[in-house]
Amino acid sequence: MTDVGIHNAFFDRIRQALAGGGKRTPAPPIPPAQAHAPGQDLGAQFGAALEAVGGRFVTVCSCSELQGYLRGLIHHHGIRSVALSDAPLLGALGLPQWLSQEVECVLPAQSHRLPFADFKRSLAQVDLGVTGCEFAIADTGTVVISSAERNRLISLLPAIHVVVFTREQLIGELAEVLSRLREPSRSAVTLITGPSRSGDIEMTLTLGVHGPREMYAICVPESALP
Amino acid sequence: MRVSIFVTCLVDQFFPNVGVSMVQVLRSLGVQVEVPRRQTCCGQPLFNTGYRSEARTVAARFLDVFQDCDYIVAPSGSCTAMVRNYYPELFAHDEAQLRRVQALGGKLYEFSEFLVRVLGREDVGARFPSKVTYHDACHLLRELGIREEPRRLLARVGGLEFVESDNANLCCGFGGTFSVKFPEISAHMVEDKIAGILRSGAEVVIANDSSCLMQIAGALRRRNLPVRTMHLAEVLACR
Amino acid sequence: MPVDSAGHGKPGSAHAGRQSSVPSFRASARSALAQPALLRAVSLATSKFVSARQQTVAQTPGFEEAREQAHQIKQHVLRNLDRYLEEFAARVEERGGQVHWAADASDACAYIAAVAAENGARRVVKSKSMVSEEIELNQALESRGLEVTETDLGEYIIQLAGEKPSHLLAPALHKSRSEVGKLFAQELGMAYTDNIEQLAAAARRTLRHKFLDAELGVSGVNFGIAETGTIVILENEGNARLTTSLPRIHVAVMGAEKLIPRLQDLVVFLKLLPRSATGQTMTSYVSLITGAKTHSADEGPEQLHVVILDNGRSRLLADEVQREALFCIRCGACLNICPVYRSAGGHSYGWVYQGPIGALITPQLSGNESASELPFASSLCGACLEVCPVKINIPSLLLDLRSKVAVAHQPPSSRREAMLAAGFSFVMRHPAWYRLLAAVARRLQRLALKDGAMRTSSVPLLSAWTESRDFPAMAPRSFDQIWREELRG
Repeated sequence: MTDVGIHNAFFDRIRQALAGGGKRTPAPPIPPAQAHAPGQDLGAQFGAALEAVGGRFVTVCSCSELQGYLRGLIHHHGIRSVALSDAPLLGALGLPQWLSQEVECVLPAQSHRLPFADFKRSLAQVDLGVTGCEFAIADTGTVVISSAERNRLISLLPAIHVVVFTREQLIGELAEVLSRLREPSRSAVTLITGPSRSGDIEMTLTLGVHGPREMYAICVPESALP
Repeated sequence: MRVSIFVTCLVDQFFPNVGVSMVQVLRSLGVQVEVPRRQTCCGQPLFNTGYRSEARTVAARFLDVFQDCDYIVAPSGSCTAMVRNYYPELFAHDEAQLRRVQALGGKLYEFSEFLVRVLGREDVGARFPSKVTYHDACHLLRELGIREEPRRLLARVGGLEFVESDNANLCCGFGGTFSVKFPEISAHMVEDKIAGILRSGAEVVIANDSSCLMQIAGALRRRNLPVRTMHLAEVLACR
Repeated sequence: MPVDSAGHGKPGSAHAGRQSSVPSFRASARSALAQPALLRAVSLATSKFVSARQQTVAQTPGFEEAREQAHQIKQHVLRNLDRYLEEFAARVEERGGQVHWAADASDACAYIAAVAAENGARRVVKSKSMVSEEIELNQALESRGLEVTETDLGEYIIQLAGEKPSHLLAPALHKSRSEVGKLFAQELGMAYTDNIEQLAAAARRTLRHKFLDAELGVSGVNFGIAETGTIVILENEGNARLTTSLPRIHVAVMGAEKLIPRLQDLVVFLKLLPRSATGQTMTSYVSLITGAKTHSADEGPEQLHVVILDNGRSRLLADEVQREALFCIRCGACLNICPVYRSAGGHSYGWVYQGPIGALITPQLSGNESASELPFASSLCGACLEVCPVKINIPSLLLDLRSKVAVAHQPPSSRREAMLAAGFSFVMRHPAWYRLLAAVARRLQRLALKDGAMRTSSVPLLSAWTESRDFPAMAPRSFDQIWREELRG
């Protein structure tokens, strides 16, 4: 059968199934988004939600505090290689240069030139992935990353994922985020809420089965940017 | 006030004391009781096994028998739910019958529902000094939404110590012909139920449905367990 | 055997050969009930899911409203499924994806095999997809020489063991840690351990290689958004993200009923699905994938194929009562709460869909002859309806199926049973006969009574009861007699 033929046969069955039904009515209205109390501390709410699922949240006040925290992570986990996404925020914070002094190997400078097949294999050897995000949803402790920043795999392959965002990126709930995500440029958007988990063996929770075992979210103020 | 008893075929033939208790309690509250003699069955066993047209003829007769009553009271959540919730489906294509069904449904009550919601009574002067727990029959609980009324009635029974079972709303495993078409599963389910009853430490388990009580009692008896089963009406008739 | 509203039987799957070889539910349940370790495992898993769900729902304001909203949305989508499918496909294709309309299982498998062949793909990784199990994709690809690896930890375990999943969300719940340890030692050549962390780490290591080497990734789809052509995948492990971003080609298999109209509708379903399934407020990962990548240097697959599957769904759609079964978002809440599932275990249902929803759709989609008894394997307690996030009235739909089976005289109904039903109806419409038969039974039962109850019986249905329970004696006098003789006054 031709493609058109296949398509028509498929739809014939569906239309026949629906024939004789009552009048078609419009889609139910979308419930209005909840208004947020102005004084609400979205950062605290985000942190509580993320920590409840095994992620870690920290707020820093300056670039040097950020660097101190990352240095601590690097030592604690014995991190030797890092990959950075293209998030402008990371560049604005001077992270690529700073990190290349702290660890043996930093990936981003090479990633654009590498063919995808080689990129993914190098990335699989990296200890830490650092990305930005589009939004951080306070309601559920979720960060929203989009493929526009080449962070799809950096937030997934290394065993440790650090995501950095500014206070201004904090949003109350998912409904608000979705209304902003309609642009066609993104082929993949991922909502990340904490580390990877599984309960498949004897209903016992293990972290890091496929995705990162640990996930850190760091909130920096806009004022930290030079 | 005149109330007609829909005794249900199971109570009529196997547990008539439940019907007797209902009559005694209602009379003690000043209600005039009648029993339409031509009643037999609501048709639920037929409906549940898939024989809808047979169920419809039995249901049509039910409508005839009870149509002139002011109030109808039944000692069974499942039979009450059959008439109120499923007769409309059986007669969905018959406008005249559907009207009769809706009228009758508005007059039909399960026993505990009637006492609490229509008569407004929770204390009926009963006395039953025992430690008891309660089983939420599935149709009573989920089809009719009756959960609090039996508990409130039991709370006012003199000398009664009530203990909530940790699986009060777990199905007993009867399910009509399910109990004999899938007897191993039915038996396993009632074992779970009984385990909860035993954990509660109650001497008596009470329910509003004789079919559940038959299932639970049957298993308790087979295992020679000392826990007794009673219908709520029987407890409320105790003085 | 699936039955349409006119009572005609129809095979639902292309795999006609295995129709009559699936054991009956009752027989499978009996063997499950004889395995205490299995019962304990099922009980543990389901009670954990149930209490997690209960706790989370109790803390979620607006949960009931969300259920109603979701029900309305699904009702609307299915009523207009042709339009939404057209819209969805147009959006997917605008963004560089390809859509294939698969009439049935063999059609879907043939297409996917062709995609693999055209692209020289020999190694396939799969994330969890009920639909791919429904169409038996793994066997179809393996018979063509491809290597297929399940990557969800539970699915990976049972793939290695050569078994079938026993629960929608926890496919390997019937395997203890030591069984998994022995399995991994045998299949992966590692030293035996029953330490769960180490076992998970071993799976991670082994599967990483598979992910990096695979040319084709197959995923399911939790929701397809018609407005944007987006496929949405929820998970906790990260294997679906890996499956859909590492290999060159991504094939997403989706049941035609999985659409929702607008991106904003995702909010209500993301509120309902994680909570209903595992009691989480959000799964670790939600992927929203729209089309294929636009530049080769970008991350992600070069090709996206969305295979939209009918396989009998249009038949369900045509039945205005049974259509509601298509609302299902595969959360597993009905399985976890069902006392029948807890007793019988997942394998008893004989197909990929289990528990109350399985009892509904297996007879109508699977082509298994023995499935006609599934609608009767329920006590109609209604707990499933209470927890279903899209408010499918499962008990009512089961009753509807029972009437269809009875009309067609399929097992467990029969012509003999239909005659008994006619007899019961006659007796109940003629009170004199009712009372006469009762009087006769009252006399006859004395032969079978022992200490006031019936303990054994050779009468067919009664013997099923008395195997495990005592059956009560009929009362010496019926209520009607007592009323007439004493109470009436």
